[in-house]
Amino acid sequence: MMKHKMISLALTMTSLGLAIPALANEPTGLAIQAGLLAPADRTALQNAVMADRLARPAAYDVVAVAKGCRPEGWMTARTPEPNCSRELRALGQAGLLPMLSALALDWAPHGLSTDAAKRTQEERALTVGMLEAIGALRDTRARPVLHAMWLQARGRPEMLAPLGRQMTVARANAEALGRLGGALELQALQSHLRAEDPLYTAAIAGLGACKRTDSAQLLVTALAAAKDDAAQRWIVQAMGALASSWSWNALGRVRMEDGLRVRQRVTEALIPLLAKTQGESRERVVQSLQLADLPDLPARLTPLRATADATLQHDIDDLLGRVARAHTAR
Amino acid sequence: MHNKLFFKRFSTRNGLSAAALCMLASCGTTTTLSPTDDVASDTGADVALVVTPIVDLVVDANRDGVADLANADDQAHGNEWSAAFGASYLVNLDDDDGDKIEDVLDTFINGSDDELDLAPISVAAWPDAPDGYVGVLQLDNPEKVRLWKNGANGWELVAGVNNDCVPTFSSCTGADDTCSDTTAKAGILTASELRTGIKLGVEGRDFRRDETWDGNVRVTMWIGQGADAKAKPIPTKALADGKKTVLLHVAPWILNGNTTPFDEVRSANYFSEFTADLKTALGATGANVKYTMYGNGSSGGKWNDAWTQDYYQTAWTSIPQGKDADGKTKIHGMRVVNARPWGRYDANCVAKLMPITWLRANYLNKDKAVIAIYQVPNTGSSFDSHGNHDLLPAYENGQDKFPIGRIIHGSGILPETHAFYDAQGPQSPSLVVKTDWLLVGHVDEVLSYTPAKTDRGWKLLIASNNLSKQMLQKLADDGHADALLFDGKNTYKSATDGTMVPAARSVTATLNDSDLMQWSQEAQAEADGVRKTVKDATGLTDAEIIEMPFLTEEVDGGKIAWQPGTANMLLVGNTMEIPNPFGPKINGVDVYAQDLKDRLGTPLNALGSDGQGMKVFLIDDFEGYHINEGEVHCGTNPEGPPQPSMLWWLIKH
Repeated sequence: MMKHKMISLALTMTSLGLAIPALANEPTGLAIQAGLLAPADRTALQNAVMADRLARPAAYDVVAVAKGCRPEGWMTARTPEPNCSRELRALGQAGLLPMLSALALDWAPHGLSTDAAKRTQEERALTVGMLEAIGALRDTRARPVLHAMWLQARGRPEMLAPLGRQMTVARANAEALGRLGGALELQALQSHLRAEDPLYTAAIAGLGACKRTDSAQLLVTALAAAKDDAAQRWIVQAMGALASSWSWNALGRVRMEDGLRVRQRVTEALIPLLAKTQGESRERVVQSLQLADLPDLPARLTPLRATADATLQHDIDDLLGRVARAHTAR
Repeated sequence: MHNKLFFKRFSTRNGLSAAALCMLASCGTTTTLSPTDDVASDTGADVALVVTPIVDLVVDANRDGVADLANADDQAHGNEWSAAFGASYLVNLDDDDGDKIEDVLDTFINGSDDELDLAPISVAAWPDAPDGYVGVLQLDNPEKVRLWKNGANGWELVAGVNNDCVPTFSSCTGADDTCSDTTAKAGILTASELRTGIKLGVEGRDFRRDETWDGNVRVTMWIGQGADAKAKPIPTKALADGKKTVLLHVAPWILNGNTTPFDEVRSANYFSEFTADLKTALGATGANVKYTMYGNGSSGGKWNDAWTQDYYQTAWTSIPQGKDADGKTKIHGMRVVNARPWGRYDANCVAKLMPITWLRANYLNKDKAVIAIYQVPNTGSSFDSHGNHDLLPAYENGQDKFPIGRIIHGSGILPETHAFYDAQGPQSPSLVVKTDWLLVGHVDEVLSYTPAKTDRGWKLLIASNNLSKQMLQKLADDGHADALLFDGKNTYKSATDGTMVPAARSVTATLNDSDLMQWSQEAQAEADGVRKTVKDATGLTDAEIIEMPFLTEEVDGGKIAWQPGTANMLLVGNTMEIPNPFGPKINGVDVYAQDLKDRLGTPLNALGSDGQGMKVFLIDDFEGYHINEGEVHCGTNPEGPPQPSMLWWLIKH
């Protein structure tokens, strides 16, 4: 408990931009130098890792686990590009400290490709894999590392470089922050919602993972300010992720009211977009409304359908069919 | 005898005028030439003729397998291509003599099997043809075909590409034919060949690649005085310009689909549970389906790619060959597999091992051909794996008619591949569905097709996260929240002791996983988008769509099956080889497996050719394919011979 408090205190300093500059001999992780963590955060993490590592040293060979990021793994997988989120997620809670250590304290690329270009891809995939696995744990011990990475992401092109079709280290970082879901995370993401910000799309995705009612409002505001169709689709997709009724239901009764508010806010913002979009953009709106799956969606769509052209009527009917199938036992 | 003497004199006395010779020979009509030919160079003033050549050639325009000079249809329709009439030719990419060089790339006809791959043309005899005259045969697209004649010396090349260059294929890059061949636009028939008449053969070199060529090749014949193709055409009574032209249309590449009869299934032998289950299933098809396996490696028939569906696409091509005793149309053709544009790394190779290299070494054979559609080796992406390229079975929807199916593919394939598909005709235009939301990105992760005893003859199988979630919720509601999915199966290696991590997860832990639920619902929404695209195109009703239950997770922003992706199955005849779902067991019964058997293996959905249900086989692909991003369909590749029931030439396209 004390450890967690120390991390939170130090994080406050970090998030205010008071991070201590990197030192020459600081331990270096795959993503950041330990010196970029606030001293208390660094100490807390180092201590926690040291104790854990003594108990189970093999667990700290993260690369050994991450088969899909090692050359013999990804070169034989169906899609021959490195990815290892699944095996890292399978580690569960036991993987947290080894992954934080690899990101911020101690990194040796043994087992990866010797070819520099391939190794860069593998390390990037490994970083994304660890961020996705860490994010799924929603453990506040990850907070200092995630925030420290996010703080310097804007100035690090490698965090913005695409991995696969739509992932970047920055996006994985933002989504992991979003999953932590605290006010600090919301603030960190919110500060990058200007279209010209290099972290704009990552921040939008992060808000989509941040299960809070104020995330919904931020996304609605961002939607109104979207500069082009691509940005609009991206925001609409994040709104659907945030509003996912299945996800809110999984969080249990304690979050049910929050979930309903988010789903309502998203639905209210998206229904008018149906008539203003076409093709791929409209399909994205349809899907996000489907995800929100508000119980009174059919009633809410009735007025629009009454005045819609044939194509929009067809699309609305298709949306209602999707929602009905989700609730029809077969 | 008189004529022989005359011809001898004619051929040796060049100084005689044509008019004088005509008088001596008592020729019939006298006509004039016009200098229109683009090969003949002697295009001066009109010339009076002394001979009346017989210029006649026919193709198999009535599609009875014979180019018959006496047949009225072959004569009347030799220069047309329609659903009713017109000759076609094969692209001769197989290897009938087993030398591991495509027959179209060598310099001779490889025996009687190779002769079958030539489209026939018959040239009428001109018994009185004098020496000093030649028949000229000209191709309008000499790079598309090779034209052969079967004379006294056997088969000889007349025109088209002369394969002076012996291609070399790099095992790493798959690069081919870096030298240049010479191409002859025209060639000749000798006077003696004219006197007897002769059989020609047209050998295709390539399929239609795109819209820049209509697929037609024309062969024009004339007779002239001279020794080479520059001979000027001599008009005849029937042919004012002295020329006769016939047309042949290239046979298209026809993609196999789930409802195509297969006779062989290929897979890697890397995973024993998988191959054992598959062997059992294929043995129960009731058909004589051969199961061919290959080992892991890069030589001796082995290959370093377990994703058999992905690195080549099976298809065939055919031309008509008349009718059998029962009046059924006979065909001749060959299987033609299409190699993926990129290969996988091998430790001994600087670059990647190309699928076409393996296919040429291990697949190419008599009536088994290999083709590369891509323009540059090692281009493209996962989208260009052939799990992302499939075939909707036959359908009609309003004005749209696809009697031998329609190519369907997912996002992002190379433009030359899409253009190739759409250029084939009978199965195009291809239908494109969105698959870029998937990690791997293949249409076979979401869709499959099963025979059914319905008016349409088939039903769509589609990934359903909805159904899986409902099934799990019902289990939880019925008091089985602690029942385990994947019980006894493993996922990944443990970080602490190197052992495999058990995959088992309870029903309630699954339903309470908010990330998994979000990803699954997102995947459902995307799959519903695909469903809409297919429904709008085909007119399928919801009753013709069968949901295949599994939940989905996300990796690097892309979706991938979390439970075994049961839509990704192999179908052979009336059997389904489905990934074993390893669902929760209640009283010893896997509820997912039972659901599949109940809905697919009984008369409930009228599946199978008799409507009594498919034979359902569950294949254990969990630790071999599932945790490595694929399932049964990804790991198998079925093929079959050219289909006599699919007469592509009758389809208006």
